[in-house]
Formats: sequence, C-alpha cells, structure tokens
Amino acid sequence: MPETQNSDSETIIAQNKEEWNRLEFLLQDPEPNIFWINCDTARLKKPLHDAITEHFPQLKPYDIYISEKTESLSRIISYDDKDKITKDTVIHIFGLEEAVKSVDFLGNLNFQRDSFFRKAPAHIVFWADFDTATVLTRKAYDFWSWIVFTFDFTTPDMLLTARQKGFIGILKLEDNEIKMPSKDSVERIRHLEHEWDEFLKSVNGKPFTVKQMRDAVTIAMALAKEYREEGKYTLAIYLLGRALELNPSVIEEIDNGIILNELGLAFHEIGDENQAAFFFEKALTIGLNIYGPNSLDIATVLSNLAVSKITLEDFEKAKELLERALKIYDAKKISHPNKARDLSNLGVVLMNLNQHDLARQLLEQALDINIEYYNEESPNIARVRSILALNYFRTGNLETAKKMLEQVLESDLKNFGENHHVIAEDYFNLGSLSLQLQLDLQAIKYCEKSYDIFKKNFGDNHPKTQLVLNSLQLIYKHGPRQTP
Amino acid sequence: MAKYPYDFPVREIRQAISVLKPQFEVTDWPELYVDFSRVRAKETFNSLSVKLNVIDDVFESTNDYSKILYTGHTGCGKSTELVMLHHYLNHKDRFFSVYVDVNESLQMSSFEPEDLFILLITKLVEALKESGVSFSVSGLKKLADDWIAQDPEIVDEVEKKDSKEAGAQLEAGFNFWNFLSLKGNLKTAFSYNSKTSTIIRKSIKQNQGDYIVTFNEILYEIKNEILTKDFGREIIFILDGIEKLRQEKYDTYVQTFFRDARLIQNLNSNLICCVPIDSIYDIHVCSLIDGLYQRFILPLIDVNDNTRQLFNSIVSKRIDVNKFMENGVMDYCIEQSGGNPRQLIKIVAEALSYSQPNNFIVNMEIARKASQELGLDLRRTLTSEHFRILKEENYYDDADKIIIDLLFSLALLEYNGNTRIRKPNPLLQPFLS
Repeated sequence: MPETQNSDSETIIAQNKEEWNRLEFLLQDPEPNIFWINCDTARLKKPLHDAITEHFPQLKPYDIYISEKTESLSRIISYDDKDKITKDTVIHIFGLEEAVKSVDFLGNLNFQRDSFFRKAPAHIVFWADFDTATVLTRKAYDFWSWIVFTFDFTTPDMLLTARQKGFIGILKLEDNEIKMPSKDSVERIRHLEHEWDEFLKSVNGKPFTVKQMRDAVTIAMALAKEYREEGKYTLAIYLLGRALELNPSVIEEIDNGIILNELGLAFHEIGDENQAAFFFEKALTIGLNIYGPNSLDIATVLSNLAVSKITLEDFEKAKELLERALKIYDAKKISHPNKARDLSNLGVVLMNLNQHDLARQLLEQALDINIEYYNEESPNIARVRSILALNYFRTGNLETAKKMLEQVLESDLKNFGENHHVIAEDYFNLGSLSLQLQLDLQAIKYCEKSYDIFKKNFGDNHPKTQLVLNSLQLIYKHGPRQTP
Repeated sequence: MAKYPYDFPVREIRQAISVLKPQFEVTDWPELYVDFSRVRAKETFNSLSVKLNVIDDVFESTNDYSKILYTGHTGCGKSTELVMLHHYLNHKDRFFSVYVDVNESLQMSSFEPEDLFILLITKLVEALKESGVSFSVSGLKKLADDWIAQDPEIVDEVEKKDSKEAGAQLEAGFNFWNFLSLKGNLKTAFSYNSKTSTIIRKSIKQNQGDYIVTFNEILYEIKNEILTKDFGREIIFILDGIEKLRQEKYDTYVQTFFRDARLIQNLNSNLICCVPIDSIYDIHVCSLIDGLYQRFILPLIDVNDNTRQLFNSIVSKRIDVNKFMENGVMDYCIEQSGGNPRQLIKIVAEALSYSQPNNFIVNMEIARKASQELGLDLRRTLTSEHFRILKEENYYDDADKIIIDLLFSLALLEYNGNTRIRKPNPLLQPFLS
C-alpha cells in the first residue's frame, strides 16, 4: 500500500484504526461489497474518501451525488455503463441525507433492493450519517436489512472546524431550518469550476451561441448552489447574476425561477434580507406560473420567503406564507421534515404574535413529525424542543422549559461535543432560565460555560459572545440571589 | 450467469464473506437449504400443502381454488421457503407452478391494481414457453387484439425491444405476449406512462368482469394443454415481492387484494402471495382476510435444544465453522440471532469482518463486539417510548401501532406456538437493563 500523502487521511485512519482495517480488508475483496459509512460530521467524508482513493489506487472512484430530486438509484446508476463502472470501480454515493427526504426514493430502495445488490458489478459505498441510517431503518427497512457492513467513523478534533449555520435558540429568533455542515462538495466545485473555465475559454470574447448560453446557465446554477452551500455567498451571487444577464429567451422559465430562489438564499445568508425577499417573491411569481399553487416546489419558495419575512419582523406576512405552504402539505397528506420545519417556523411566528397556545400545538406537531423521521437524539428534534422550551419559558412554565432544555443539551452534547457553539447556546438558554427561576449561581455557571465556548468559536467581539458577557455582568452587578 | 464453483462448506475467508452476504442467492444451492419444517410447530409446510389439497404428495382436484396470503418477519426465510415450495409443487402429480418475482417483473413504485392481471398472464406465458407448452390459445390473441385495436402504437412500444431475440414468426396477438414475456419487457412497458400501460390499465378497470371471464377461458384452455402434456394437475401462481407494497404503496396493496379483490377471488386458479406483514395486524384488513383468503404466517423459531443444530446448519453448510470460529462462539451467535436466520448470518458476517487481527478466527470477544454493533444499529431506530414498552414485560401483545412498528423493525420478535410469544430482540438486551 502506498503511504498516504494526506495528513488528514492519516489522522482519520489513526483515530479509526479498527474500522479502517475492516474497510481495507473488505475493499480488497474481489467480489463486490456494499458499504455503509456513517460519518459523525460531513467534514469527515472528503478526507476519508481521499484516503480510500490513495490506499486503493487500483480502484477507480466513481462519485455520484444524489438529492431530494432523485427518484431512484437505478435512474442514475446504470450497471450496464461499462465505460464508468467495471469491477475495478468503487461507486461512492453521496447526498443520501437529502435523497431520503423523497418518498419515492425510499420506496424504490425497497423495491429495487434485490437487483441493486445482486447485480452490483463493483463495490458500492454509501456515505451517510446516523440520522440517515435511522430514516432508512424506519422507512426503507427491506433495503436496510441487506446492509451488513456498516462503519462508524469519527472525526478527529483537529478537523472539527466546520461551523453549523442557521441555528435557532432562545438567543434570537431567525431561520430555524437546520443546516448540517456542508456536503462534500469540494470535488464537485473543482469539477464545475473547471467546466466554467473551459466554457469561458471556449467563448473567449466571442458572442455566445444559444447552446453555449444554455450550457453556461446550467454550469452557473450548479456551481452557484455549491458555492452557497459552502458559504461562498458572494461568488454564488456573482455567478447567478451572470446567468440572469444571459439572453432570457434561451433560459427556461423554470431555470429562471431556480436562479431567483438561489439568489434569495444567497442574499439571506449574507444577511441582506430585503434583497432575499425581493428574489424569493420573483421566484414565487414564476413558480406559480409554472407549477400552479399546489406544488411542493411552491411550498419551498413560500417557506423561504417566510423566513425572510420573519427576519424582517413582518410576522403577519410570514404567517400567511407559512399557512399557504402548510396547506400544500396537508392537501397532499404529506408528513415530512420540511413540513415540520414550516410548522416550527409558524410556531415561532405565532409566539411573536403572542399566540403561544396555538404555537405550542404546532411545535408539538413538528416534534411528532421529526420523531417519526429521526432518531431521538437527532439535532433536528433538539432544535424543535429548543423552541418549545422557549414557548414554555414565555408562558411561565419555567420548570418544563428547563427540563426540555436539559434534554436538548444532553442530545446536543452527544451530537456536537463540548466545544460546539450550539452547546454555548444551550448553556446560555439554560442560564437565562435559571435566572428566571432565581437560581443565580446556576445561571452564572451556565453563562460562564456559554461565554467560554462562544469566545473560543467566534472571538470576543461576536454579538453572541457579547450578549452572554453582558448578561453575566448584569448578574454579577446585582449579586447572586441564590445561596451556594 | 454461471455459478461460482464454491466447495461448501467454504474454508477461504473471502469466500466465507461472500456466501454470508444477504444478496448471496442461497436458492441456487439446494444443498444449503435447511429444512425447519419439523420444528415450525403447527404452521408447517405440511399444513400449507393441506391447504392446497396436496395429500401424500398428490394434488386432488376440487371445485375450489386456494387463495393463500403468506407472510412473516423480515429475514425469517420467506422467499427461500417460497422458492423451495415452488420447486416442490411444480410436479406432474401436483401443479404447473408459475413462480413470479413481482419485483423483477414490474416497477413496483408504479404498481397499479390492474397490473396484477397482465402480470399473471405474462408470467404464465413465460412459464409455458420455458416448458415448451403452446400458448396459442384464442383468448390470449383476443385480449391482445383488443388492446392493439385501441391503439396500434402499443405494438411498437412492446415489440421494438429485442426484436431479434423474439425471432418467432407468430400472429400479431400472440407475438404481443411473446414479446411481453421476454425478460424485462413487461417491466419496461409498465415502468412509465406508456401507451401500453395506459390502455391496458384503463381497459381492465372499465371491463373487469369481461376480463376475468376471458382470463378464466384462457386458463381453461391452458390447463387442458398442461394436463395433456402431463405437466401438472392444476395451475398455481406463487407471487413473491408483493410484501414490499408497504408505506406509500400499502393502499394500492389493500385496494388490489381486499377492497377490489374480484380478479383474485374469481380467478380459476390457485394462488399463494407473499404480502406485507403489517396487513396481518391491520384491523381494517385482517377482518377481511378471513372472508377472502387463507393465511399462512411463517413464524420465527425459538432457539432451544431442538432447534440449535438446525440454526447451526444455516451457517455450517456455508462455511467451515470449525475453521472460522472458536468453540462455543457459534452457540452464542445463534442465541443472539433470536431465531431469525438473516440476523444469524449478519452476526457471523459482521464478526468475520472484525476477525482479521485474530487471523480470521472469531472468538467470543469478537462475536460479542459484532453483536453489540448490530444491536447499536437496531437501538438507533428506537425512541424513548419504544424503550419504555420494551422494558415492560408482558406489554407486547396489543396491536398498538407502536408495537406493530417494533415487530416490523425486529425490535420485537414473535415466535412459534399457540400463544405467539413476543420477546425483545436479544441484540437489544444490553440496552434494556
């Protein structure tokens, strides 16, 4: 075996020695095997994938990215494609976290299990996480029951730099959609950037042909999505702008809608909420023309626009939008994490409109849906509990709120470890509650922990660090009300 | 495809891994079959044979046709047993047996109730072709001609595939069935909104009664041909794969088999169909089952002194247990299997994958680790409410949805016997104390 040149890979292998040895042994098997690799963070996938490629140069990686739009694996993997798949190939399948949101995809996993497994001409590696495994065990059990070789890899501390975005806690009400750390898009970005460069070279100042313009739009949209998911928002906005500038007659209306929605998301991420709302509204208008009012795509745009309105504190408008989105799910009798997301967002809105009882009902519904989909310790469940705790907090049910937040903390500690900023938010929330319960010493303890973690993650000047520091100073100033 | 020439029980580690994979087609190797019938209590295949009126290995014709729903837990060996049953029944003294792997033949995600009709005919034609029995019966031609008359383009859709392979110079109507019965053609024709599927489904839906009469006429003519050639005394269809119509497709299953069961009930042929286990516990369905079908549940088998050797055989027929496992380890794996053959095989395969540091010999420590890993996978599927129920003994007998979920996910196992005892999966024991 060649020595790996990649220090990340070496560190991962060293930390996961036993799992790596199993993987290595089974990858040497001349008969195809099916592997399921659970990574505790998405950050781990790329270097681990690289490690496999480095250690098995004779096995050609064939990476496939699937999404919520993927109906079935057989649609995107053709075992008959001898150019791409031979017995010396390893098929890496990424994006299951998204794909399992599709009911059709899950159903097809069960239906196509036998042919998928029995006819596999090469090793297949499913890259996923515990939540996705849980969804499969519940929703695609026939498929899951044939997965034998599962591997649990953990991320070495030195790689734990990925920052989670979009968290909502008691600190601030905002978009509560959970965004797990970005997917392994480095490879895709490299590939798309190459295509974009090639495209620019091929055009080289000459007027675009219609075909070139269409190609440009396709590449720009794909690349912009990757940039946005990787946090490179300015680049995403630049590319989307370029795509929009192209002659509109060659851009499909549907693509226009997607570009506008992507622009909205990118502006939302950089905090320009007015621009975000502007683009979401345009995307909505186009979407309604294409899909009509009852499509799930419309529900998604309504939901995005609602988040913008929440951020702009236009709660009445947000309420109306979310109610429209939820009606679409209800009409289709869909119980899905996206519906849970909209329910909890509406819960947040109603709490801002002082309709706490109704908000609590919606949040409980959201919690039920997430419990149905995810493992008890999933961050998605913890997030809804966190908002429910806020609801209890605001309605004076402090003990229940505290109990719920303790549950959230316990779950988050398992998922994120001690030093993650999510934990800092949990500690601060518990600190705030303890203060209300006149348990000042406990409040100090929680807030100090929160402060340390925020400082470590974001530095001293970050608004969240400052908020906790100010709270601590206030408690110190008035003196603790609780005897030690 | 030629079978890999394994010399069972295998002694080479990579071969051992291969023959323990779930996708290993055990039915290709009759010598690996383990007959559990003598320990399956009252639910034995003997009783299934009796239900089919097969006494002393001979089918006695009656005026009734048996319609049997067959089910069991994931991994309990349903498909394996069904294939073995097909081989047994397919005999001149018993049946002309048509085995249908529904999943191989149709795109299940787009399955519609009407598809069952065309599926049965197509697979019958396929089986007749394989046996060299003529399928030139007038009813088949009439059916195809009717559809082709509605839209001649469906001929192109069906016949454009593999036209060379089909070869035979048959009349249009017969050629339609000939093409449709070629491998993969039915699935392709019904996997998207083709004209063929649209026209056929619509026609069957609108004229179901007529189609049932025609189908029975076809069966009558074919039965005579089969009897003449001494291929069996009756026709039986064995359908494997319908049990995958769960969750979003469950309603289609209920529609096909219960709400609108005319086709199946009026079919002048015997039928065994593997169905979702949920329906056995579904109060809205189980009340209908008894009126329409006989049922057969393949239960799990309790691990005890009478059965341990049989479980051992599942593995020891495939791999050399003495070479790969230390003394006593196999017994531990059997206990941990909870009587589920697939779970047993998974435990052993998982243990072998951890055995490299010990020269590929599984000792007790490695077996425990494998068992723990699989237990963790199972544990991950459970909510705190699931745990509460699992920890409360004697609380498993209700048909609450949550208990049914536990049964389906194999967190709870249901066993042989008059009382249908339910116990938590042994893999979960470490998490229940």
